[in-house]
Amino acid sequence: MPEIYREYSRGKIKVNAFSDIQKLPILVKDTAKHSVGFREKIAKDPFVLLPTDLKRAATIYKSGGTRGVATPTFITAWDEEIESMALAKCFQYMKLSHDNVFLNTYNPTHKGGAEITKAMLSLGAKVVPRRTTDSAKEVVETIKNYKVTAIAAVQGPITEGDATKKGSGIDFLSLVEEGQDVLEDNLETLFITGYTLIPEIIAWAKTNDKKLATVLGSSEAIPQATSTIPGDICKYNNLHILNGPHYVEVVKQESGELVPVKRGETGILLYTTIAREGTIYIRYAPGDSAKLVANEGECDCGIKTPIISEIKRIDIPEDTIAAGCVIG
Amino acid sequence: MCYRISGTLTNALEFKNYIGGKKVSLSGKSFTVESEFYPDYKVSIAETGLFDIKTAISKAKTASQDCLKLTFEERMRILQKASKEFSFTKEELEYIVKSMGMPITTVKQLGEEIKQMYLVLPQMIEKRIGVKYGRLGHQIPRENDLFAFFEPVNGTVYAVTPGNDIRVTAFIAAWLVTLGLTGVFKCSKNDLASAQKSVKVLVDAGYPAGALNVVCWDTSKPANAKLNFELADSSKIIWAYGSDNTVDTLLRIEEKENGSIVDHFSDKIVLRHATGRSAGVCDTEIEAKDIADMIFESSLTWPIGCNSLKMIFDSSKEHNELLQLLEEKYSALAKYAGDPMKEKTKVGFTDPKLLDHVFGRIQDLKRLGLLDVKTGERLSKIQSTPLLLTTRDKNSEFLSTEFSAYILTLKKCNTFEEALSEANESAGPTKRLAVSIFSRDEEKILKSKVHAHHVRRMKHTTDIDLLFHEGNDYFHKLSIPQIHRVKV
Repeated sequence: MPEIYREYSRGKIKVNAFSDIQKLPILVKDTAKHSVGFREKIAKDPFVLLPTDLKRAATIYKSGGTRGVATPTFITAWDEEIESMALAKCFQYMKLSHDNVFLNTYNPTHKGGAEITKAMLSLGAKVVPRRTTDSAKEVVETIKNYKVTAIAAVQGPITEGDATKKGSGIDFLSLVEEGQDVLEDNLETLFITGYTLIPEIIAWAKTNDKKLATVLGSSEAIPQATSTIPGDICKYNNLHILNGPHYVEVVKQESGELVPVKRGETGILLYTTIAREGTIYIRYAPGDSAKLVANEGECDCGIKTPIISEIKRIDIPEDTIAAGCVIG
Repeated sequence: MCYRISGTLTNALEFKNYIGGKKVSLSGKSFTVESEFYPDYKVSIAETGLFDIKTAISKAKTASQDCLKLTFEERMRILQKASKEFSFTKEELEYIVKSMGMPITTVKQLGEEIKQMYLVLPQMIEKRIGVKYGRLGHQIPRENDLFAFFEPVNGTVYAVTPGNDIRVTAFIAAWLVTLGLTGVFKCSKNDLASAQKSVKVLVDAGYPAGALNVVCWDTSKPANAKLNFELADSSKIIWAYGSDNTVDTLLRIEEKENGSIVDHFSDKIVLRHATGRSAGVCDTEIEAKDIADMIFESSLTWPIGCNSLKMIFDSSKEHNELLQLLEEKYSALAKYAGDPMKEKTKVGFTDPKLLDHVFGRIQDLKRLGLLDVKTGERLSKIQSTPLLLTTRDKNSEFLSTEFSAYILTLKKCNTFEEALSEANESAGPTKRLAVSIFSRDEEKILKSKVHAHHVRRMKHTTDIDLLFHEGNDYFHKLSIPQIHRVKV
């Protein structure tokens, strides 16, 4: 276990079922009223998130890093494999398969970039990674020359000026500008990430009769939730929570406790990396909120897990009961 | 207070962007535009967003290659076919009339002019430049081994068209098709029907879909200003209607958050259309009966247009006769003021704020003895009968300002030279768009300085020069010569 859980590695809480996880305190980045965060500790020693008993080699993947301190997540090859397989399952939900020629515009040194490629390869697809020096124009040329049928790209809110290059992927809007006709003629499926699918990209997909889906994930944990194609309730920004490899919850504060939200309610997003050799996050609150829009079993797509939507970055309220990270 | 024409709520038309030959709306947003003349009439317009803009830019750029493959003859055939097919539907006519307040008969007349433009422009260019093997070009006169062939400028056009003349988009589109150019039009919220129809008919006639795109957004939202900059940056040619100050503020100069200034016009070819204030100058010997109709028609046919005649500097010996003829014509026309949707109406509606201002100033200046009203009265908030004014004040604002209303101001002058001098001075530093000189003395006219882009000699100010406008020789601005030297 990483040093941050030193207090709990003494065996005070037994976890035998998912419901036991819900009894655990949450882990936050920043220290507040009731919570002790790990960000300050990482700033002094980035290896606090490395499991002390890890024997295998691990890659250190750093998160985006708000407030100047990136969270380093230690990932073994086995962890990558597990996550890539889970991502492949999400891609299957999007009807991606060995029939596709898939262009991955993500930076391959980014964890998401690497795992996307692995996931599509495991489905038997032909994968064309973008060279990090390729501009949007060159990406469009690749789509045309290789008859790419599916693409992984990013698209942040366009009101924020230059689209956020999350994971150093190419923003879809620049591809539109460079080659709308090429995109229309070749692409069948868009896999776009960036918190939520913005209305413009949904409209673009509908107007041009393209399939579109997204996955919720971060360098700490991929994937957490996914939309599907064609989808029932679970279209576009309505994402089925995945029960593996990470356990995802949405909770709210009620009478001094953290409880699961009910349908229609918004709460704090937590995840627990239950199938992980490297950095284990237990009820980690990265700073996102989500709304529960459908309960277990309500969606007719075939996946039975609950559906969340309206995922946003928030500041975890100061008085959130956390205390998941007790630093000595 | 709104003047009610109809008592029923009408949501007549919904407009989307016209991009790549399709109706597109990617922003998911729309805004409602209500007619200021018919308060119960409104239209819904899809608000162009950044995704729409980028799609349009991409389409225009990609279509360039296909356009260049068309020969001149093929492009001319497209324009001919479009001319045949062009017509407004009943709903489109209603939208135009209720947006602009102009009579339906005049709107139909301008529609016919659009058809003519599509036919005539390529013919004029062919006649002026010549065509060989599908390319525009000719032998240089008196040089038997030198030829010039003209290619369109490399790049797309960003055109910002006004809301006061339904022919403008068609005019620009005719140029683009004749030369094989592509572009994106940002049109006024009051001109969507004509703008989209003008472009769609060309695409339907065979011009590559994607070559001509029409977008529109709510210009009252400051955040939308960046859409202009995106389009300007992506284009080589900027074709903009509006005063220099407006164009520079909205399209050209951007102040970034860090305080730096960006000039989005640098390295662009810019075609500006900033002026109007068309005037007439009458020579001493000219007879009133020879010019009264031209003056009347120039001032009152489409009074909101930039080439509408607004002021006359009259040195004719028959000044009183001219005034009387005009009074009779203006008074006669007054009977035809009414609902512009009715076919017999010849005097439509005017912006109520403008009418408030004009009548307020008239009242003030009358009181000071600086202005006389020969004809014209206010009928309602949005309508007046045609105003015929006279002034003795050469500095009167009614001689220098363009009021988009049914209005004409006359000033008596002693000599032709005085008349022309006053017309020039009252124009200010910016040239008038057109000056009609009512004189048959060519030598006098050519030896005089006329502070205007266009000089009409014994012709209406409203005659359109399709090849030139406001100091621009369009052909040479939009094309690049390729010189051939041939062994003879």
